[in-house]
Amino acid sequence: MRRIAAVTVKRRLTTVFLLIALYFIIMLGRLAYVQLIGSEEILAKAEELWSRDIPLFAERGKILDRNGEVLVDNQLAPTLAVVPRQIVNPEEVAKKLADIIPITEEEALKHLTKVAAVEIIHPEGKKLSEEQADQIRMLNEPGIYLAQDSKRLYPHDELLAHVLGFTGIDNQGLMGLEASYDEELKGDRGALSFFSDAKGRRLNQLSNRYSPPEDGNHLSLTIDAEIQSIVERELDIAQAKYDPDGALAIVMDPDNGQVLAMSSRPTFHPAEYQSVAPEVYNRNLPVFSTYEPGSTFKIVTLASALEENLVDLDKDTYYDSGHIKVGGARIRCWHSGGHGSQSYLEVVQNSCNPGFVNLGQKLGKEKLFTYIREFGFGQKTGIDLQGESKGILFKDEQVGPVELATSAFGQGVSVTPIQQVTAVAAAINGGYLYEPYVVKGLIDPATGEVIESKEPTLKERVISEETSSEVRRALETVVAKGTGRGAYLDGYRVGGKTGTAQKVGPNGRYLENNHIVSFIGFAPADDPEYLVYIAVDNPKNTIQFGGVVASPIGGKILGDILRKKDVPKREGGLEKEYQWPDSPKVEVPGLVGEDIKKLRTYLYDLRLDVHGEGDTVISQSPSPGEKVESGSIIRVYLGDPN
Amino acid sequence: MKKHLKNMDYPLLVIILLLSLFGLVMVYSASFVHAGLDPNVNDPAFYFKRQRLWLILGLFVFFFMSMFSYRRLGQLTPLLFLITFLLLLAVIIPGLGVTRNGATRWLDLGFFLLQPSELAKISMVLYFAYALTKKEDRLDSFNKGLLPPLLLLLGVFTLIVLQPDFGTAASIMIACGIILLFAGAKFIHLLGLGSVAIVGALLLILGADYRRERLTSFMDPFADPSGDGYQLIHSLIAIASGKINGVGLANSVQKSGFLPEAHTDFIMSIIAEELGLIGVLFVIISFMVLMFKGVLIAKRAPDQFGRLLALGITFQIISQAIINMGAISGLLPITGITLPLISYGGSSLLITFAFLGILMNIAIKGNIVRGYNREEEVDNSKEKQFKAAR
Repeated sequence: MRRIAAVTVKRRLTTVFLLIALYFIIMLGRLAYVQLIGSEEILAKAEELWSRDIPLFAERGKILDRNGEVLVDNQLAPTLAVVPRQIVNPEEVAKKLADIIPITEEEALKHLTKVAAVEIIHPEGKKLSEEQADQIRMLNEPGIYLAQDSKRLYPHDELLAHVLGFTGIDNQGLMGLEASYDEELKGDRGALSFFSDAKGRRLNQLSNRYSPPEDGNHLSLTIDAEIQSIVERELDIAQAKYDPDGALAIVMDPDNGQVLAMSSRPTFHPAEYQSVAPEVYNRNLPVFSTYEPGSTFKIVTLASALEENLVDLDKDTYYDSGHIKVGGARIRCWHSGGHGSQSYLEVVQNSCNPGFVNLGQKLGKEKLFTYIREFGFGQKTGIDLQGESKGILFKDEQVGPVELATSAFGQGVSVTPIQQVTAVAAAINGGYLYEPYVVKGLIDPATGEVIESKEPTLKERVISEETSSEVRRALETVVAKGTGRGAYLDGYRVGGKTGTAQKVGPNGRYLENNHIVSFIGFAPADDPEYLVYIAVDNPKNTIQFGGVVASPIGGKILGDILRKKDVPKREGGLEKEYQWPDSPKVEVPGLVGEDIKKLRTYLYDLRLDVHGEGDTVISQSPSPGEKVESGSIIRVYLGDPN
Repeated sequence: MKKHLKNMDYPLLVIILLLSLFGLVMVYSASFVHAGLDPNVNDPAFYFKRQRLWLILGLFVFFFMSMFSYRRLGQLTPLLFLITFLLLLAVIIPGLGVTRNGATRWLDLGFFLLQPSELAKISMVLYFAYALTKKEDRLDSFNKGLLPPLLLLLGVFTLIVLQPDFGTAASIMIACGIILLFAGAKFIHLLGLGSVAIVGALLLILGADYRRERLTSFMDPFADPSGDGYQLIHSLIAIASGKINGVGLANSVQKSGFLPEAHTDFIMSIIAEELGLIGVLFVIISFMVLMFKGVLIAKRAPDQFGRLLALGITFQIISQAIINMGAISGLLPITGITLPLISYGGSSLLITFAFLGILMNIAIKGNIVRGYNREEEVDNSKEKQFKAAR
């Protein structure tokens, strides 16, 4: 027989048989792996690559005010989607598309010939106008689809712009509530899937699969559109009248921390946010800006002193000589010559700085700063808005007699408007410090049911009801008899406090003649329902006093709100007092042509704000004959006499 | 005739019928969407009807071949080989070959597209078994024994690779290699030939762009999803969709145009999708049984030619199956080879049935010989008893 033994052949046969059997087992293992273990991953990967899905964009949730008024709406604005494999003549189609949307032929061709299941022409093909959409529909080209999409519509234009924020080209929230509540608003994308063969050609014989998009939830705000528009209007007027560097206002329900209105200037239109500088839309001033509050902060000192029973507003008196010496420094009252002997209630009405220094000293640094912190200063209020600042307080070890004194009347501390409003709300509502908020809840877009709602968050009980009631009484007299008389409303009981805050310049010193004038007020004073804060930064052509600029605006806002909301008029309110400080009002003398040196010696009850070079006054503001409060500033321009 | 039927290997027949009927059902399931939508065909049952016809024809071929003595077939081998070689040459002559999907593999006979590489499978296996049986005592000598058939194999292989049809060429190579292994070639020769084959295969793969790309795409199909990875991705999607029980017969999504060649090269993917792991197990176990039966028949073959032929046939079929299933599951590069007995395709089915008919003939011959021996044994014992009784 052969030289190779039969045994060898048999062994070879067995080996080959076993090897191939082993290969079968490996193959079976591989198939089982693909089917059982790797299955999810492969399918997910494939889905991503090959879904012939025309996207159906979810409708973004609307933003509504507390009464259901639509603040941010949607408008149909389809998106151009192409299925490159279905395009018959890409060059021709590219040419046609270039005529309709702002895209070059080359760019369009790149999209049309891209190796992709579905290509979105981005950004030129997004948010098409109705006209563009019609033209594209009329092309009637295979492979060209209009995907359902929408864009934001702002029925109230600029109203509440900073709070609302805006969205980008893909309807993604970029700023404001649109950004911070993007998850809730955006919803889930759906798709129209069609069956196609390997080349992406549509197979019309087979039915399409439609998976509907899930619309985003509506956002329900605490904002009241009516109040908001009153505020917006008043800020517009203030802007036109005073040409300020900025202005802001907040309206809050003091009983729960709900923000009813919030606005600032300069503002912008959310649909055209790109037309303003980023600082304008980035900064929501009511929560972003920090400055030394000035006299409105005295409410905190007052409430603290009352809570500690350190003062009886009616019985205790304080003598103001016009200044007070603290740690070797002289702290002047804003009213040159001082207010003389006054009860502490009058100290509040007159906003007398030395009087509040005295209250601060009575409290001592530990207690005063404990109250300041308890009222929420030095930390974020936790409002549900982006970009909140926390302000700056003196550290305990930094506080000397001077720091204690200035803090007592609102200088040397840096706070945000929302902190002040939140703190004052606590001071007048019985002592309850709430976390301020603007988002009240989420609403299901289909059923209209509230699916999530936020309750007020009580953070701290700061003062007692009795103290709070004393604070309200004192502040009501400020409006009736003191610096806040500009906000007085006949028949309604209004309480409030003005503020004239000095601004720190870039060199660390206080700026001359550049103030933030403010007013914080509430009504009705016996049971406050509305708390308004208004601040105007560097108003021009006016005396920069809170009582002159801000309190009338505050009064106007409060009055309009009360009337609009049918708040019943009150009886037993305080009568407005007219004698003070009208009496010390002085007539502005004619200064043009006078020598500046001479003026400085004899003009004692007015202050001069000198501009220009030279010795002789060539123009002045206010003009001669106008009545101004004593101590007011007269702006004069110097020049050559000829 | 009666003796033939009596000595048939019925388990083998059952396996063959099971696989081919299962294939017919799957061809229908995999092709009806495609066929129904194709404006040239416009009949969902188009491929089913044709495959049914081929199956009936195939069964005739099978029974004919199972009765046609394989020894007489051996004598026809030189003629058959010559015809095959000429046909393969004809295919690569420009103008004569029919090109589809970038491969020139067919000759148009008017009523039928002939695929000479299918014929080459049968010719080469027959020739190798025949030649190596004749040269049995010269096999120790490389030059005199092995070289002539190897040169012819290389010629046929080259012609098929030129088409290009690397998968078929590779399966022929494997079948012939196995015949060589069992014919009794020296181990050192086999080792040398094996090394040459591996180096050659590597050179071939790296030499042609499309093969290199297929190689890389089977390693990472998702790297080029719309190009080279396309088929494999859809094959994997189909398989992955199947899970254990499958999506149900006729319910495949991938066949509706996503997976090209769903009823031919990728029918196994559709089986995995529609029938799940259960379907996969059925097919793989059936092929393993087929292999086992083939080896058993070879062992019982009455002579060396029958033994080598049975092994060549068995491993020709099995190598096609493993190349095909390896390709659809991403274990091997995609070469465009069908799954024997199951995939749609006339040439392929007829040749496979012819193969299996020959295998059956060897089995019958083996059974008859063994049967005679057994009968003789029985007779002997009776005689002995008879003698003892006397």
